[in-house]
Order: sequence, then C-alpha cells, then structure tokens
Amino acid sequence: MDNTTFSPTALGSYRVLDMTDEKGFLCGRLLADLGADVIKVEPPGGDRARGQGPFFRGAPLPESSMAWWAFNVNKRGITLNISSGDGRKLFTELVKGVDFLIESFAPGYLDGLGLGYEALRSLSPGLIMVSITPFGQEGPYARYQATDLVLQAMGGFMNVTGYEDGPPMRIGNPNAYLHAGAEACAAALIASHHRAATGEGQHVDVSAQQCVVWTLMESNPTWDISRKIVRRAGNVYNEPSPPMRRINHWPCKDGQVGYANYGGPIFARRSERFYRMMQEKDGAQVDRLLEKDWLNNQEGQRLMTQQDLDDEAEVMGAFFLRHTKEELYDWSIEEKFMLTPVNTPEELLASPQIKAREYMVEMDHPDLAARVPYPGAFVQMSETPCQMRRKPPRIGEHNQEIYMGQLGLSREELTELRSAGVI
Amino acid sequence: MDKQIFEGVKVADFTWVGVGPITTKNLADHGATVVRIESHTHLDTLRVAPPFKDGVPGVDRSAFVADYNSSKYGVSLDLNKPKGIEIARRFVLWADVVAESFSPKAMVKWGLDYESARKIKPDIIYFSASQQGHGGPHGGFIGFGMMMASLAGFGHLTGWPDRLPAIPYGAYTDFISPFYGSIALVAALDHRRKTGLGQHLDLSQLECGIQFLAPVQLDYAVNGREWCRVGNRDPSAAPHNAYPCKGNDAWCAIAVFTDEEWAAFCRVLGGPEWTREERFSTLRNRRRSEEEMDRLIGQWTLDYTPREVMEMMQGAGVASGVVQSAQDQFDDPQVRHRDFFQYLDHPVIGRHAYDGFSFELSKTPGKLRSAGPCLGQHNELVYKEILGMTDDEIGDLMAEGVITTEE
Repeated sequence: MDNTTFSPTALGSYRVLDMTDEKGFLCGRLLADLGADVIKVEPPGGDRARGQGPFFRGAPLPESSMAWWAFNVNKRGITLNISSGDGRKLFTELVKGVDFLIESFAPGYLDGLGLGYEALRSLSPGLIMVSITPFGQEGPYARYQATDLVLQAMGGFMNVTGYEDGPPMRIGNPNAYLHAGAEACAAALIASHHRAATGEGQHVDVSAQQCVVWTLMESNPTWDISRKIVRRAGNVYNEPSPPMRRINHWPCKDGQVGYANYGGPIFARRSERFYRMMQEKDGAQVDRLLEKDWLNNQEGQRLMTQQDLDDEAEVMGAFFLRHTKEELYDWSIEEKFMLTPVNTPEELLASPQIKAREYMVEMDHPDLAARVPYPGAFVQMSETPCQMRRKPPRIGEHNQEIYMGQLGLSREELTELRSAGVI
Repeated sequence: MDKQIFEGVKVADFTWVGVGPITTKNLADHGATVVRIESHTHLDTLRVAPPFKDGVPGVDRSAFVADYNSSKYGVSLDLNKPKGIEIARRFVLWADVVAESFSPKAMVKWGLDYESARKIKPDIIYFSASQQGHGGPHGGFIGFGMMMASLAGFGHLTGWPDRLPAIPYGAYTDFISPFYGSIALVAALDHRRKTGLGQHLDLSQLECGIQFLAPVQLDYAVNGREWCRVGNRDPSAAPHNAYPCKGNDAWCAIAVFTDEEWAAFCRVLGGPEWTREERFSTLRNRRRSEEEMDRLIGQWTLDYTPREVMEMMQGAGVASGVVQSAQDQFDDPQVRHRDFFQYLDHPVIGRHAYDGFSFELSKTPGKLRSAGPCLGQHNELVYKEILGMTDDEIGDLMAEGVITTEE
C-alpha cells in the first residue's frame, strides 16, 4: 500500500474489489463515499439485482434500476465471469491490486473455484476479504436459502413488529442486507486498523441474521434476565416488564405522529410546556395532566401507571386529531417537545433540516439526460468529507479503463475476452 | 490472548442511551480503552429502563444499559460544576477520541465543544451523535430513535395501508446509526494515522436512517411515486408472508420469487388441487389472488411447527425461516454456533447475556472483556491511573459532589 500521497478523503488511498450482489452493495458504497476506489464487478450482462425496481421513469431496464443505483453510486464498474478459466486469472490479477475484497457468494462457492480466502491470501497476505452471507460461512443454517423476509423472521425483528391480531411483519422495504452491509464496512475498517499496524490481512465473515438480531433493543435482555417475551402490538409499544402499553404512533388530522411519554427529568418539563400550549391553542383540558408528577412518574420507577398513560392518551389523542402533522411538528420544535410526524417520502424531502444540511446530492446521469437526487453523506466529517463523485456505473462502463489502463491488457486481448464471454 | 486491534486507542465517552454507547462499544469490544463519563444527577435514560435484575429498578440493575457498554470503564462526574468541567477537559487531553451526544449548546456552555476540545488536544477526533445533526433549523432537536424512524419514513412503511402504521420495533434508527458511527470513527483514526490530523464527525440519526430508504426516496424524487405500507408483500414474490403454525404465536416466513421455487413449494405441500388452479399459476396471478392463497397456505402450515415448515421448505430449496422470538433466538443453533450472545459477570445483575458480534475476524476476533459498568464503578481506578489523582483529591471531589455518588 502506498500511503505517501494524502488525499482529502479519509480512505482515498484504498482500492476495493466489490463482487457482491444485493446482500453486500452497501458495504462498498460506504467505502466509496469515504473516498476509496471501489470497483464493482458484475457478471457479463450485469447483476441480477438490476432487475429490481424501482426503475428510472418506470422503465424496467438493467440500466434503469434505482434499487441498484442507490447502493452502487460512487463505484466504478466492470464485468467479469469468474467461472471461466480466463476469468479466474483476471480475477486473481485484480485481487493483487486491491486492499479489500468484498463478496456475497454462497459459502464455499469461491473455494470451489480455487478462489477462497486461503488461496487469495497466498497471493496477497495483506488482503482483507469480507464475506457477507445470510447466516455466516459455517454452521447448521449456513446453506439455507434466505431473503430479506426470512432474515427479518430469523433475526427476530418480525416477531416484535406488526399488529397483535395479525402476522408478524417486516418493514416494507428490504433492510436486512443493509444492516449487513453497514456492519461489514465497520468490520472491514476494524481489520484495516490491524493491517496498518502489522501488515496482516484477514477474513471477515458477516452474518446478516445476526445483524438483524442486533436491532432488537431490550427484547433479548428481557428474555435473558426476566424470562418475558416482548409482543408486537401495532402502534402501541407493549412493554413486558413491568407491563405497560405505551402508544407510539397516534392518528392526527391528516396522518400520524410519533410520540411516547417515558416521564422523568427528560420528559417532565417538556410535557408540562406542551400541555400548557395545548390549553392555549384550543382549550384542551389538561389540568389532570398538569397535576401528575411526571418527574417522578418515570419509566422503570414503578410510579408511572397505566392510568397515567391512559389519562394522557385521552387528552393528547383528541388534541392530535384536531391538528395536522405539520402544526404538531412545528409546535414540537418550538416547545422542545419530543414529537415527530410519521413522514411520507414527499414530506421527508420537504424537511427544512434535510435542505439546510444539503443532505440530498444531485448527480448527473448524462446518458439519461437527467439529474438524480441521492441521499448523500452518512456523516459530516470536517477534514475528510464524504463525497458523491460518480454516478452509478453502466454495465462494464470501466472495462477499458481498468483492464487496459490498470491490468495492461491490449485492445485485442480485451476483444478476445469479450467474445469469449469472459467480460 | 493476542493483542486486540484498538489496544492503545483512548476514548472519552460522554454519550448516552443508544447510538453513542453502541458506537463506542464497537471500539471497546476490540480493545480500545473507553471511559464512559456519566453522572448521578443526569442519569443515562437506559439506566432507568427495564429489564431490571429481579424486576427491581435501580441505576445498576438494568441489563439494557449494560448491554451497550461492555468492555468499558465507568466513572461519575458532574459537568454542571466548574471542577467537573476541569476534569472533563483532562479526559479530553488524555483521549484520542471524544464522543458526545449532548445538545451543541450544552457543549459550548461547558467549553467542551469541538473548537474548545481541539485547543486542548489539536489532533482530537471528536464524534457528535445527534438526532438531526448539528446546524439547520432542527439541529437541536431532542428525541429518540422511534421518532427518527417516524421522521425518516420507516413508520409509514410498516403495517397495513388501511390501519395505523405498526411500530418498526424499538428505536429503529438507534440500530442503524451506530455502525455508521463506528465506520466514521475508524476512518478518522486511519486519516489521523496518515496525516496527524483530527477532525469533527457530525452524525445525524435521521440521515443515517434515510440511507436505508434510498430506493424509496429515489422513486419519489424521480417518478413521483409514494410508497406506502403493504404488510409483508413484495412486488416480485408470492407467496411472501409469515404463516400461522402449530403453537402459541408460532409463525414461519416463506418467500417464493421464481416459478421454480413455486413448483418446489407446491411439491412440499404434496401438490394439493388448489395449487394447480389457474389463479395461482403465475407470479402475477398469485399476486392478484394473494389473500386467498395466503389463507390456503395458512391452513396447511397450521399442522406443523414453524421449525418443521422451515426444514421442509429449505429441504426443497425454498427460502423460509421461523419467526423467532427472543427465546428462540437464544436457542437458535446457528446463533449458538457463532457464539453471538456473550455471557459476562455483572457486579449487580450477575451473569447475563450481551449482544456480541455479527462478524467474525479470522485473525483478531473481538472480545467482550467486561460487563457494562455500574455507575461510577471505576472511579478510583480511572481517576488514579488515567488522570493521576491521589486518594485525597478523589475523596475531596466526592465530598464536593464533583465525582457524583448516590445520595
């Protein structure tokens, strides 16, 4: 690795080979946002995930998949068929030139091609190879088939999400592999910290199932030390220990708002201010709420009762129904109260906060004569800002640049490989 | 045991609740020296959140707060006292990384904001975790993950369209942001190693959440199409749901995307008459008759346990999985195979389970070294060995309430 040239990005000196499908796209995108040169490798004809909508202007074409764009922006793109002998040779050449290899093949697939971690390590001892799979490389379920739904089930998220009188539910957009991609990126950089000190690479084995388990908050500790199970209850948070039903999503005049009162010093003053405001705005009967000792009626102190929450719900619920999301959020901001609208995509994009922080970044797609706004930096870094530098690549867009420019192949060789279906 | 990856990296951790502590846990469990600075006068909300040991509340009895603070030292310090600020500044001088999740105003008031911190330690890496980021009209918004999940759009997408949204369980964005936070911190450490420069990292929980919703946002921005909640449905799959099984609140998820998978699925069911009906013959037909199909599948699954359904489906190559409760999670042979839950001895709670690692590092595996600290558990150790105080000094500071104690 050559670290003598400093770049204004955090990871500008690193090169990454990204062999993932939708299970691992996000990992490479995050490294790329931080400045790494990420080369996305697709099979000839493109990733299968390019068949996944939503599509640009609704056209179901491989070059129009916005589900693919969203997590492959900022990468360069090449094609390669690693199941052919020539493809394997090119692959090992590419691996020699990179610091990270990310892949999400079924466990054992690369080993079967003679391209597993042990083989690659002998070519490049400093290589950090990151493998993202549903359940990890080994173990009784390692060969199981999985999708987002299956992982949200096996990871326990669905059991605690959904209505009391209906089936367990997932969130409506696939999230399990995004958790896996983000954790994989963290793991890759942790391994990189070790390599910087020792020169030693290693293999990182990520289980998407366990990344979902990580989202379960106090549900697992509650079983572990109290032997109680958290049950899903729709818009209500159903706390098992001590038992308490706390409304989280409330209907309002034009949709829903999110609000939950946990009492104690964080909530007490805010609640009082908000109750008084409710009284001023339209004469809500809040005396009973003001009399309560919310400061000491704190969650976990066993002083807050279901009756306290029910009394509040009666007054609050009626107040919310008389007002719009926008009104309620404005007042929440003014009064430093903890309430937010349940936003639709349109409402989110209108947020003055998102605008003020210039979070969405428009990227040019010259081939489509369009500018497309992407969610931008995941963090603001004062010295090495995340950068949106490249629109997502077209299929094989950088084949010449990389195979000829970096690997030194001739134009004839490239043509030959193309007609042989290698690239 | 071999040296851990972040051995020698020092973190002064002023954060609380979820995002900050999980972010620094990721460093602590890989060897960083993380000192969590808390106080009895301004308790970490999770210290008063259940589950408690024996169901009895107490600041040192919550397994919830313990989980996110493994491998850390815990001290108590009152930042609202001038001497407390002085000591906090000594932690800044000691640290490579300062992590905080207070309001920007409070940190300026205390002289502990980034600009002040870099005067103390020019190459400090200063990590701020907040709800909506610093600056902007909603920069000072105080709240927690459930609200950011609503604001980002997860709430809108969870449940049935004709009912109130169901809550995406927990404080959902609290479990997206910390991994982004750890990525930023380790990247900043790498940059400092190469350049000697520290920096400010400003992490917005809302913005981290929106990252996961990028395709939904693109669909709106480009096509004007607004996604709404659709239960468990997926435009590319049917069946695609959780089905009721034998047992109490027992369910198994099944996802069928291709025609081959549908054929395999039908074989598992023994090819009953209804599976051959025209209205279920293609994905589009199945999507149109999904409610009726789900009812018929549910009649079949009811005769089996979730695990039996999963094993039959997986045996035929159909993606399927038990909808696992917390209890199932602890019994899951795959989770056990990977030793996900790590058991540590807590001074008050006793031996209990911690969330471990979703990833295994082949050469330098992480290790949870100690249970989440009791409030002020390591006062003596840290104030003596890290800040070089004498017993007398510590005694005086305790008497003055600068080092806080239980009254």
